[in-house]
Amino acid sequence: MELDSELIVRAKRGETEAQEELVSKLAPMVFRLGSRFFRSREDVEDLAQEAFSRFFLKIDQVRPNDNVAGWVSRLTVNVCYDRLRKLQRERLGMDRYRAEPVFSGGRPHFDAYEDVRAAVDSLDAKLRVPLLLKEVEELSVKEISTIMGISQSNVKIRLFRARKKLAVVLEGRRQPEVQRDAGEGSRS
Amino acid sequence: MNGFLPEEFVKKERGRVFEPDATFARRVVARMRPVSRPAGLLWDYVPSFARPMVAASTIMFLVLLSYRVLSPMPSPYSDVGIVDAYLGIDAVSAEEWMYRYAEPPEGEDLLIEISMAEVLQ
Repeated sequence: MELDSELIVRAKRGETEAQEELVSKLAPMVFRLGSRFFRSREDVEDLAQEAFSRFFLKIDQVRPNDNVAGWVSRLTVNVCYDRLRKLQRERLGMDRYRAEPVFSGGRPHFDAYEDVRAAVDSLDAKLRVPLLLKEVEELSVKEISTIMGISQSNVKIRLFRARKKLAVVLEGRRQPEVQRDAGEGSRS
Repeated sequence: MNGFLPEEFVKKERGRVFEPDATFARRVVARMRPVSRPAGLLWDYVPSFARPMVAASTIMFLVLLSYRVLSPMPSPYSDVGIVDAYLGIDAVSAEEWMYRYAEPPEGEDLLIEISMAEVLQ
C-alpha cells in the first residue's frame, strides 16, 4: 500500500485531518488482520485502536519514505500476539475450575469449519499467528518473518509444528465420527 | 486446497472480515489526543544535534553539584549561636571561655580571674 509522504509529514506535525486520513487508509488492513485472530467486532476494534495508539506514539521515528503500511501491520500482529497470549494465560487459569463435560447421550456433530476453527484456536499463539498468516492471508515466509520480527527458519519451524499439532487435534476430533459412521454402516 | 488447512475453512475465514465504521478514524484520533506528549517541554526546544552535548554537560553539572553538596567542607560560619554571640559582646576577657565552648582554664587561676571580673563589675 502506497501512502502519500506529504500525508505522513502532516500527520507527524500533529494535523488532526492528516491523522484521520491516515487511519482511514490503514484501518481496513488492520481490521482484516485482526479478524484473522479474533471473532468479535469489539475485540477487533479494540486491538485496532491499540495498534494505532502505538503507531502514533512512535510516529516521530517514521520517515516519509518508510513502508508505513508494513510498520502498522507489524504493530497490529504484535498487538494480536500479546492479546492472544494474555487470553491463553487466562484460559489456562480458568481451566482449573472448569467442570468436566457431561455426556448427554446425543450424537456429537462434526462441523468442518467449527472444528477446524476450534482446533486452530487451541494452538499456542506463537504457532497460531504464523499459521493463519501463511494459510489464510497467504503471506510468504519472508513477509511473516518481517512482520513477527523472527528469522525465516524460525517461521518455518513454527509452521511445521503448528501443522503437526493441528493434524493431531483434528484427527482426535474426527476419530469418533469415523468410528460411529463405520458402526452404523455395518448395522445397515 | 490452498495448503494445509481445508479449503472450506480458508474460504469462510477470508470472508469473515470486519470493516471499520465511518467514525472509527475520528474516534481513534480523538482518543489519542490526551496521550500525545505535552508540547513546550524545554528538551523539545533543544535541536537534536545539540542534545548529546547538552545531556553530557547537564550530567557533569549535576555530578559537580552533588560532590559539592555531599562532601564535608569546613563551615565559614562560627559555631556560636545568636544568643551566645550577643551576650559574648559584653563579656570580659576572663569570661570569654564560657562563650567559646572552650575548656575552662585550670587551677586557682580560674577562681582568681572570675573573682577579679566580679570586683571590676
